[in-house]
Amino acid sequence: MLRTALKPRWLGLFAVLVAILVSFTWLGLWQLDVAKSKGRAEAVESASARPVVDLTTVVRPHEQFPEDGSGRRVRATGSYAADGQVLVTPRRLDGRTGYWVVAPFVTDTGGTLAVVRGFTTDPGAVLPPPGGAFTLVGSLAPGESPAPAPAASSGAADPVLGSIDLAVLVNRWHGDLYNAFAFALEERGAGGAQLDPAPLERVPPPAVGEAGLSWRNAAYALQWWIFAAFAAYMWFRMVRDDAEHDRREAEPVRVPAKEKSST
Amino acid sequence: MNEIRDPQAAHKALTFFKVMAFIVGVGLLVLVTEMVLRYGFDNHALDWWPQPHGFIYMLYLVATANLGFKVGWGLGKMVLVMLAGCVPFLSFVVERTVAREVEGRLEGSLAL
Repeated sequence: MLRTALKPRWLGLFAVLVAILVSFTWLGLWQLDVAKSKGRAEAVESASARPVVDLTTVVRPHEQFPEDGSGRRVRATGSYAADGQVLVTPRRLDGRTGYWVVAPFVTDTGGTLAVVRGFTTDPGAVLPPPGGAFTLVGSLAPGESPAPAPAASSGAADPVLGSIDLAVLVNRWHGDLYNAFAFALEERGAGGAQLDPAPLERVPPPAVGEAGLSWRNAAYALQWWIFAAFAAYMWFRMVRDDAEHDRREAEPVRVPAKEKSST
Repeated sequence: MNEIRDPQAAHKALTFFKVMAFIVGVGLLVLVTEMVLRYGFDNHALDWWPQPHGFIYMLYLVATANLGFKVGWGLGKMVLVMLAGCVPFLSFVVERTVAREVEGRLEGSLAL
């Protein structure tokens, strides 16, 4: 059968087959990519479509971060502690490197939640958190892994850390710390007016993980690969038939019709 | 074209092909309806159809190849019959043509 496969005709078709295999595999990968990004978009959409709930219904101080807590939008009333604000670097936003400004938010129910108030490239311009009670709406995230603090001091008034490591913050801050932090989406004062985060920029909460895959596109991906496998089978089957044909011509003796070709 | 070596197998393959050609033909019309609804009227009622149709078309390819190998078609003819399954209404015509051809040859070989 190998000798048959090396005939120019089958070699030429083999080149076509390879082209089909490569392009169909690539098309399948592309569909899989579409499936993933669509799935991610759907996950993000469903996360932001979920209603804003009270922080304490999702997690309580010292409690483990709930599995479905990432990206949950929560509401809590309280005020920022007057001191304890920290900067976390290096962080990126829209291609710029800078600092996250993180302040301890003391809730009315008595817990302390780390809140990312915003992003800045100029640590010298960071103001202390606003005083007074307000209502926070934020997007929840689990605490980050430890990371070394940057060596060089940058002229910031607040301490600079390498990550939102809750094990570090629990020693800096008073009160019962939540095993979570929140990206501030809204800070509304008593009258309902938005507190201006300037000069900070709000940090958009990250898209939630790899969760979800668009099954329709995943099935398209699978179809491309099955088509590719089918093309390979077609080639194989045609070569086999040709090999059988040649063998039959070579030995005019009658052979049982059911016999399979071996070489 | 080679003679048909196993008329019974070829006859079965032809039946499979006729069934699949009909299903694909109808499925293709549903697909066209889906596209008209979706892109013409922004109606997504049939959006679930393209995906199963892909798998049905695959079965049509298998049926075509199965028949083609059994009745000794060349690659060119197989590919053309396969592509006919992508053109609305053409699959019905091709199904008739193919059935007439193969049935005619089968009668000849069975008479021998």
